[in-house]
Amino acid sequence: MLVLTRKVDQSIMIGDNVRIVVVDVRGDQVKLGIDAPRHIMVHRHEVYQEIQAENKRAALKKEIDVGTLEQALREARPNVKGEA
Amino acid sequence: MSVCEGEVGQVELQTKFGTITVDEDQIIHFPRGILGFTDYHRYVLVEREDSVFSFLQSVDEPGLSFVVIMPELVRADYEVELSEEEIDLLQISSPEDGKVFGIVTIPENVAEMTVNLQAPVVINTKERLGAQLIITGDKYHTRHNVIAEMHKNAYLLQKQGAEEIPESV
Repeated sequence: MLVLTRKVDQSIMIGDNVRIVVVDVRGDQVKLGIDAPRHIMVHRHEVYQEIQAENKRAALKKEIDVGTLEQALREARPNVKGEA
Repeated sequence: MSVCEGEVGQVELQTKFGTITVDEDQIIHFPRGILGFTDYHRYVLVEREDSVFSFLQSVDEPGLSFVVIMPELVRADYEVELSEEEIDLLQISSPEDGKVFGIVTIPENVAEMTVNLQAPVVINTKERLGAQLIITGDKYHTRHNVIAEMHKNAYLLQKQGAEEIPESV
């Protein structure tokens, strides 16, 4: 991994289009500003990983019958008080 | 790839829920793809009149599809705020252009299905552009229990409705 030392207000370039600026440093927290083209997604790594993992779980592994899903909704309907 | 070209302007797909034929102009382009599947950029939305569940089906990988629902089913007050970049990406000019969906994860026990409200799929139905966005903050997460939240939602709506009636009299 390439490691660079930067000061507040200094930046680095990734390729021609992505610029990352060190906005502020306080204790163990670093505030970064990111300039990137809109087709490039910028997210905290943990959030990115979590969503990626959830999408992989969600991608259908086998055939699914919509009727089964609808039935699950119907069967689980509780008796809400006051519902006549 | 088992995509066959049928009639002019139509694409036939062998999917996990049967063979479907889609018009080319129904194809939605996802410039960023879906996280975890960023190599695929073309999807179709297969909606059914008789169900709240729709499918987001990849055009280029017939084995890739997601079940989606409208987030309002589980959270009546669900709102997505688009950033400038996202508005540009989806070329949305008015809120009516956007349709929002939550991706559903279906485990072995179907009754435990969850919906990802933290990363909704937003589609500009006019321009046929789509993207999965990420909502920051801790209001929504990736696994909302669909059935439990639907009931809570229905209960809240009912309660709200009951409270509103006396005011309007």
